[in-house]
Amino acid sequence: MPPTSSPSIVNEHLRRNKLGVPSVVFFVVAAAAPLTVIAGGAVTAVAVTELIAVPIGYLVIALVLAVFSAGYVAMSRHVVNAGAFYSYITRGLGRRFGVSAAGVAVMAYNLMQVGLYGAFGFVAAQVLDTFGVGVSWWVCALVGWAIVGVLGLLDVSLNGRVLAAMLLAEVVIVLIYDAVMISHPAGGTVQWDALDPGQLLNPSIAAVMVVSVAGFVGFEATVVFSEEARDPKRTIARATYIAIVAVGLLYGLSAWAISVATGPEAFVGRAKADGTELMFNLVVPYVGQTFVDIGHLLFLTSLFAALLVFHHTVARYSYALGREQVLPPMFGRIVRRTGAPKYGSLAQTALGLVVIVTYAIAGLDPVDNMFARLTTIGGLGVLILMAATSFSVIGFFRREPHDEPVWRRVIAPLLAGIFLAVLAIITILNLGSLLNVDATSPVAWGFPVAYGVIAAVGLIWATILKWLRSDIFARIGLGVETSATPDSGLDMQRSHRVGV
Amino acid sequence: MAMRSRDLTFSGETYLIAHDDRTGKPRLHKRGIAVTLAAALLAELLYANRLHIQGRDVAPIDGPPPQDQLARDMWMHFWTERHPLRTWLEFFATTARDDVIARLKKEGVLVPGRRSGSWRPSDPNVGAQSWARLSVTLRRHERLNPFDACLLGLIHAAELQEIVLDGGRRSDRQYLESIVDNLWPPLADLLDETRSLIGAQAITHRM
Repeated sequence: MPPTSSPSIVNEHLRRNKLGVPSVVFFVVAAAAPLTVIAGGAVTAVAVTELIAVPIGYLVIALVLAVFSAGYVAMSRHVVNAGAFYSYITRGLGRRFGVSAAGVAVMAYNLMQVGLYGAFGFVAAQVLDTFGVGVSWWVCALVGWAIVGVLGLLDVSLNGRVLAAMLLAEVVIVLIYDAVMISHPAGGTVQWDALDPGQLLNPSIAAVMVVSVAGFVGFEATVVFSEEARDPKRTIARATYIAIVAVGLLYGLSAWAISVATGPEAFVGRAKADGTELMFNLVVPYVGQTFVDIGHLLFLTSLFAALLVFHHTVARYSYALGREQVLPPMFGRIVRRTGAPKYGSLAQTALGLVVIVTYAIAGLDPVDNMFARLTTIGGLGVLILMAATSFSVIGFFRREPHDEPVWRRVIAPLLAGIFLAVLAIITILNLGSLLNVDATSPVAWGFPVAYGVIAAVGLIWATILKWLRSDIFARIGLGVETSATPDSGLDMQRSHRVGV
Repeated sequence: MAMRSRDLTFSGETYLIAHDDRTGKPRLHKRGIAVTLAAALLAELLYANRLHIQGRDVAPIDGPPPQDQLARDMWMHFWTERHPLRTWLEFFATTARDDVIARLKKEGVLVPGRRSGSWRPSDPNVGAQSWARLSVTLRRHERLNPFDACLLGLIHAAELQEIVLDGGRRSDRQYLESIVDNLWPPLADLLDETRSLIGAQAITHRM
């Protein structure tokens, strides 16, 4: 029995196991995997877009996401559902669009996850190479895949403290590298060109923006912890803003620091030539090989943490959809002994295997072709979802008025929604150049078409459910909740109080 | 109709079904066991007519306090604070396992297992009686008494039905589903919330 005698004993007792702001921030920032984004994503973005505006891109996107979050977090106070984007879209734009969004979300997060295997395999092979062991990237990727697959079924997430320690180590090493790069500028002078706001007028800036969005993916999970938060109203809002600001500043600073060390004019060339090794190559003359080896190891653990977190995200999305029976009910089953979403996890693992093996057989580059392309296309999916979520916030507060200021109900989501939607459209139109392929290449048009097809299938499927299975249709968006029964208003006063 | 060979409570039988008859090892994940046992303890108060559940609301019912110390302590909580059913489930889930073990230990049903802190049934036959009884009843499509119907609802909410349906026919599963679909409404509300909480924990679980 829990201890008794205090009037607020139940809340106080439960509070002990709840998450505070730092824990929520750690979980989502670790999922965003800072070292992966800076050493991998930022440098690859410069190489692919041939623009040095990536640092300011991160800062602008941080601002946009902060505006986006005003409505997003406000809605989270009234919609407790761990399904995040798709459940919000269901509540704001209706069940049909909710199912559409669910399809896009599953595809986007899957692409983010499987794309990371390319970088993981490549970096792991490099680390092993420093120990004199020569192994192909895909062998390393398969080892990572197997570990993630097993941990997924065992429902082992990274322990909060391990995650916090890893994240702090990552941030510390990035800041040290930043200090080293800024204190050793190319040509002896620190140049600010990469942060020049004038670059935002360049029509190609959209490419930088979408890659920047991909770097932030994971922050949206703060609302998933609503029920777990010590104070759902404040904890989630604070954690979301802190995560966005901290991540935005770290990415912006670090990407700029790299440009300082290479010199703005050589940034694109070095990013193309050195790839994910650029940051390490820039600091190795000053910090020594050991410190770079530590950086490589943290890069690897950062990638692994991101792989595991995205695996769980996809598995749990499928689980919630299975519980609603939007996906076959088997996806709503768990592994009895571990509590892990069984088929959601297995399906994600199977997809990872197919992608790794396909890339290995085709002999495609694990960084440029797999990591950069798949995570960018995944980022595009998340961008579409964020745009739709913004409009859902407006729709939700129109349908169900709550005591929220007009900034959160209308203005912020409208501004964010328009910006994100325009960005998504420009990205789709220019995806070929962003992925470094010809605009007529199937790679350039195939993925946006696939998103469109999945969204359409979602709409059609939801409509079929409405006609044939109205019971399932009614449950769309409820996630794991078995019913939306409002409080019955059962009155304790009607019962007779006994002396206690 | 198969008979109960020994009188145990909902929580006692749920505990035995959720653990191996001989080794006492859990058959279900920790969070699932905690929440299901909390639900079983609430079901005991519900069936003793000491608790009223409707939708997501819970209220105590006046009358003499329950004889059992654990049930009495729980019942008293409902007079001092008011919370939604979900909150109560979460609250009692934090200690339900230890509470149920303590009670079964006192009754001589559980004895220390091989590893320190582990428990196993003192008699494997007692450990097996609950699931075996339910299994036979289901396979024969016999009518279940209210106690067994509730117990079946609890293990269904915990997704433990494979323990009683192992190797069963499709019609046995359908029979089980029909029983679960027609449970006493207050119990159905309790089990709905139990399922929701187990599901929510599967999604937000982070350790």
